[in-house]
Amino acid sequence: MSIGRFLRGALLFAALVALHYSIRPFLGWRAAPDFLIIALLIVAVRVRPGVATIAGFALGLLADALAPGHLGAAALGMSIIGYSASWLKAMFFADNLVLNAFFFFLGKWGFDLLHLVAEGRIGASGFAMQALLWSPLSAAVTALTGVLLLLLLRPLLEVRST
Amino acid sequence: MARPVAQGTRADAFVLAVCVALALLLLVLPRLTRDRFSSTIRGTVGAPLVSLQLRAERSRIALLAHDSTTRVIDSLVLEAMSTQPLRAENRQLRGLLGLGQRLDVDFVPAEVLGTQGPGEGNTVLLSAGANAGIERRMPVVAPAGLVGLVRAVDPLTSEAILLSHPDFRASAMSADGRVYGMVQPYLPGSESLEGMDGGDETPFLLRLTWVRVRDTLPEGTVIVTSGLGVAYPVGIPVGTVIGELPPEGGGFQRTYLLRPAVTPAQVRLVMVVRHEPRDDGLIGVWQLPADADSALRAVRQAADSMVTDSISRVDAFLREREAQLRRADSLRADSIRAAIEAPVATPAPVTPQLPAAPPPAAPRTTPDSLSESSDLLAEPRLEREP
Repeated sequence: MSIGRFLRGALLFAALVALHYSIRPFLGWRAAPDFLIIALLIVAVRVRPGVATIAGFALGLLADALAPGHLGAAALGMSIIGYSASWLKAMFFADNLVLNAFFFFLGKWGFDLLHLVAEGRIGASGFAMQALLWSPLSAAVTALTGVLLLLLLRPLLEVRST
Repeated sequence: MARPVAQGTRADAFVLAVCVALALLLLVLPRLTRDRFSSTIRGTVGAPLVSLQLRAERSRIALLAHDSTTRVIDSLVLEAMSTQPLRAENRQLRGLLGLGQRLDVDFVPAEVLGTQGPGEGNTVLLSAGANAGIERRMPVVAPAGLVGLVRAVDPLTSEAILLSHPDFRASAMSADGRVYGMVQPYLPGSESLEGMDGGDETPFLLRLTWVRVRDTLPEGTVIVTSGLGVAYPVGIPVGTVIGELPPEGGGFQRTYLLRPAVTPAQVRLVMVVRHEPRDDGLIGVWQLPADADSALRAVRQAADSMVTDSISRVDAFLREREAQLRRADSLRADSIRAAIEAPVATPAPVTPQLPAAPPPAAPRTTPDSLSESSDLLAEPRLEREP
């Protein structure tokens, strides 16, 4: 990875993190796009699983510190999601937009499930509502946003759609 | 999007294990330690993000608050617009209430429904008619004084001419009864009333004609109806002298300019006086202080006394009822005792005679009285029984 590409990637990563903390609060939706997951997945498929895990852990720690909840829950979820994304991408090796959308969807949903389990605060009915309704909705919005971002940032990311 | 990278090695798995272990450790840390740790992150690395989040939240709140603030401002403006007419109406109603308390004759309250049509600003339609007891030639008054005269009546409404109508004439006198004359509308420079509607733009004035040359009226003299005709009882304020006009009729009479006691265009609530020719007329009615609040207080006191009266009646009824029950109990006990003490051979049937206890004549039970009182408290009626 050249320095230019690294800098572009880092800039995009920072921009997505900034978007997460500016767009989401402004929208105020319950099923809002998760730019942190998008940033993590975009980075994860370009680096080794270990690096993706560290990036996920750092991002999760930041999210934990900035959001009310249990410190460590997001770090745990993002570490696992980062590692898994990097590992799966290495295995499947595809650049299809629909597949990427599904990838974003799975990443966000998986993260929400891990986060919910790690938090363990809500009861059974609340967990079901969150896991089966709001999380998939949020994952769908995240997938849509991720695909739009991929389309917009195609020159920057050098995406080759099939 | 994807670029092939090497599959995870043991080192990657080790990193994952360490990160997961750290995350789990964070999860089980004491709350105080976790809070301190979060606070440190928020104050250092996360500070710009916190600032971003704060701005976004504020923007959203401002956006939402803008709509609600606009709605609040709109509703306040609407409320303010409707407050002024309500205040004016309240003032008129209080005035009418005070006048109604003081009037010793029968009257019918009515609302001015508006003028009869374009160009007929001198005639108004009243919301009460023959069914309410209104007849032709009855005077129409307001808390401030004379408004006009009923000209036509139908069952539900009636039509009245105002002070500004060209046909309006009223025999009048000074309040002390020293000077007499005839009140009619004043038209500067023309005897025609075209364009003169007593509206808001031109101040409407009256003139007092046929005043004897030797009688003079100082400025500020109150002019009231004299009661010489059949239409108006004596003592209704008509206006106040504001000056003398050039003499008419060859200098054998004086003419005075009057400011009317009532501005016809502003009258919304009136009373039609059902008077009979009497000696005293309405003298003194308008001279009393127009204290509508005292009238309201009087109404409330009356209502309070009615409530107290009702409660005392109910109290007395309950006491009497209790005494009757006690008497009935003692009678029953006596009868049973007598039956027990009586010889067994000649058992006498014991039929305790319970006294018939019809409810005493207390026709005004609490709810009715209270409801009447409440009605009286809530909405004092202006009508009087003739």
